[in-house]
Amino acid sequence: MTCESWGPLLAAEIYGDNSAADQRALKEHLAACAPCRAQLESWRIALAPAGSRQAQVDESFWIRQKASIMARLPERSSGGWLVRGRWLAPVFAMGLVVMAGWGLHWHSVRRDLPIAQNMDMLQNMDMLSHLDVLEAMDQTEEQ
Amino acid sequence: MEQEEEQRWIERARQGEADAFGPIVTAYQRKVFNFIMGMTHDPTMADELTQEVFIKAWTALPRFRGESQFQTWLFQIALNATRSWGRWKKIGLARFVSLSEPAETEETSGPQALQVADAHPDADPSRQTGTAALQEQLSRAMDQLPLREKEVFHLRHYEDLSLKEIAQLMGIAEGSVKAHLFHALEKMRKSLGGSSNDL
Repeated sequence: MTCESWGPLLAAEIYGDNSAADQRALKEHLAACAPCRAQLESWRIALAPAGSRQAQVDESFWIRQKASIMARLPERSSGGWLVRGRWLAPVFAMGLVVMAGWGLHWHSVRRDLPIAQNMDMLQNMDMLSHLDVLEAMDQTEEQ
Repeated sequence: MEQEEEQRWIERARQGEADAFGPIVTAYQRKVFNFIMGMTHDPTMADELTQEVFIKAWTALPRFRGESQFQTWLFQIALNATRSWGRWKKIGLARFVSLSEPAETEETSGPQALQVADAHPDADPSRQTGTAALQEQLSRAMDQLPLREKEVFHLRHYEDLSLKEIAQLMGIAEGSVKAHLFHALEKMRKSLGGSSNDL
């Protein structure tokens, strides 16, 4: 393992967050690695003045903030999902999907009718265009 | 607040008892405000977002199944609120970000915000000597970190959340939290290196 790969364990060590096994392994590494020992020490020095970062706020601020939160809490029904109406959105969405599907189907059925009629007409026209050939064949047979 | 006592308040609040939510607000409002303040550096916004976080928590409480600690769950809401604020800030609309519709009340408007700003140690020049000045340097170094590293450092260092809790609320592996923490510490050390004789 390189020193870089010990980094996350070193960082966790600062806060005492390593497991017993990790702590043992890190301790062995630190005993033999001066750069990692120096790194750990430099972090400790850098963080020493950090202390806590609590905002120094007047007690009345918290009282006012809490009062504001409590005043703004929305009504929450104690009923089940049926009462709260959470089913409305999915049911509405499903309704839209069904309606859209039905609309598409209806549209395609309407489009089918003229196409079918056109096909019949085209087939008839095709036969008509061959009538003169058939007539010519009949005449040849008669001769 | 004792763990068992807290559980009782949470359960009652889950059932819809608004009065039971009061002690929960009292127990956590400072932590949530401090975290948001550390992320936003805007007292008015921190106050507003803190209120929004608790209102959102109240609304979502029936869905809280107790799989994580209540504090972790609450910080998850706070984290999402600050991230949302950060996204809106980028496009210059931070003042309009809201998880619900906050009413402009006397408590959330100007005078109170000024009171908070004045009370904050970062804003008081007379306190910025010795340790306070070093704290300020550290604070500035933290603010230069990438968002994820800043969040991890703040939650671990200032809010004293365990790495497991941070991993849970950020939805990442514990190993990733350690890696973020390592990069954060290393960047801060380098950043402070130029201004601290100790390093």
